Amino acid sequence: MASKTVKTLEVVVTVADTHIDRIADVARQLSAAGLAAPQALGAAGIVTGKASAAGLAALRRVPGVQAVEAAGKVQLAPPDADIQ
Amino acid sequence: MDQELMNQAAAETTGRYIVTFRDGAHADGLAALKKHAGLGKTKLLTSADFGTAGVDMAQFPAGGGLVLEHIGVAVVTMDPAAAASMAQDAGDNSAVLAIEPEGIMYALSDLPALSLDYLRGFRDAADSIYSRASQHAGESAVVDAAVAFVDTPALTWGLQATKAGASNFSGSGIKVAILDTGLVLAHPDFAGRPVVSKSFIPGVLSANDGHGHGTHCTGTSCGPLKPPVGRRYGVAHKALIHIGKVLSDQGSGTDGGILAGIDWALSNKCAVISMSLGANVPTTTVAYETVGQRALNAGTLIVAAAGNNASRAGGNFGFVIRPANSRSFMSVAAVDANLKVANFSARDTVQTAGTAVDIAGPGVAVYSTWLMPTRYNTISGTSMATPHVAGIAALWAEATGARGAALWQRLIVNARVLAAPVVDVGRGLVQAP
Repeated sequence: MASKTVKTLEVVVTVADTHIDRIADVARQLSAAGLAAPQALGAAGIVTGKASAAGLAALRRVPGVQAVEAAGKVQLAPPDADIQ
Repeated sequence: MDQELMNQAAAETTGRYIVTFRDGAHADGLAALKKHAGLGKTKLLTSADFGTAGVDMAQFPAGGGLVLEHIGVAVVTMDPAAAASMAQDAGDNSAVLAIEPEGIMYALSDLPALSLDYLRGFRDAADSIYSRASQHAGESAVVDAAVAFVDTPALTWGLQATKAGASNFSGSGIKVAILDTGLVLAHPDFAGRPVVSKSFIPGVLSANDGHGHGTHCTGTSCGPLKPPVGRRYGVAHKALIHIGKVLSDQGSGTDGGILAGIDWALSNKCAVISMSLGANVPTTTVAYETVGQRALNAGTLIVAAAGNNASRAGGNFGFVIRPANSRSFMSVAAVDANLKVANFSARDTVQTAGTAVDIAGPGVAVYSTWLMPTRYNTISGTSMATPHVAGIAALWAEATGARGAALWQRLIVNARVLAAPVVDVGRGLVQAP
């Protein structure tokens, strides 16, 4: 290993409909499986947090997880642009 | 949707349908017409027979149909059962993309059968078909000379074109969330107006806007009935404004913050979420797709900008961006004051069913609120079209009590037919109740 620095990703976990009412438990298990700074969004049924790319597989194995995706970024045009 | 198609078809008097073939599936589409409706080649006229002169609609064959070769559309006579059977076969891998009763926008049960609006819709549809056929045959397009809106001292062109300026509804009692760069909280045009706000930008405590974009979008969706100065520009002037700052003053944000904003709006039981934002990628995510559906189920409609990545004058039609390309999000295109598609407005690539452009809003030269002391700004974008739709959704929510998918349906069936393809403007220009 040339470097010990592991790039962390912002991660979006979609919780299955069947587990939304237990989303806090799912978030705890995700945390135990390596999701850092987990934040449960109860109305949306989403847990966000941070993980390494290599750690995503472990998150996908947590019961009640429908999908694990890397978060994307959004960028608007600058304020002086004609088209927004 | 198939059940709705059947219900709407039953109320039709013309019995004609617009059948749109998938790109490259022309022959299979014709086969489907023969299979479901018994419309073989002997019953179909083709636009190719008319050459560059364009189709003579007077020669439309009774009990048959007309195939518009260049645009992959057939106008056909068939009974509702055949249309429904064809609609059931339509799907991800079908040659037939859509089957729509002719004049559906105006043939509503609460309107007279042959109202002026119906006839206008019929005329517009016929104009549209002729225009497209003749365009592709190398002739110049037919100009829709009837339409040209301008900003007046009283109203922006957009409030006129959408009839929002003439609506008796105000969005009273309806919560509208604008997820954007925030709002200039001390803007004089919002003085005395209750605003619920929250920042989802790490390290930023206030939802105050330092960019301008969010203030512009909030003005369009929820600006006042009588601004202290100048013309009216806002739609739902009594809606309960919820500002989620999910984009920084530099205009950037992440999916995590945006989803947190959606979650907040759902928790607050907002009936409408306006999202004039996106990432320039043609794919959606499980998260957005799923959350959009959960929102609809919970009674919240999410409206999002289709994107500005087209450059039509240069032959580039772009694609619908994330998250508007989620089928559970209502995707909004931009039109100008002549109700033509904006040069930048993204086209549905028809790669995946349901990712389409759903509706259009005023999105060129849109006047609304901006940072102080500038106060107002006139700019363009699908970002500006989106809050028109969101504000008008609040009016429909107030007027009908409809929420979620039912509210979506209200917007779609009441849209004004435009002389532009469905892939560019969806069902047409959003109209206020």
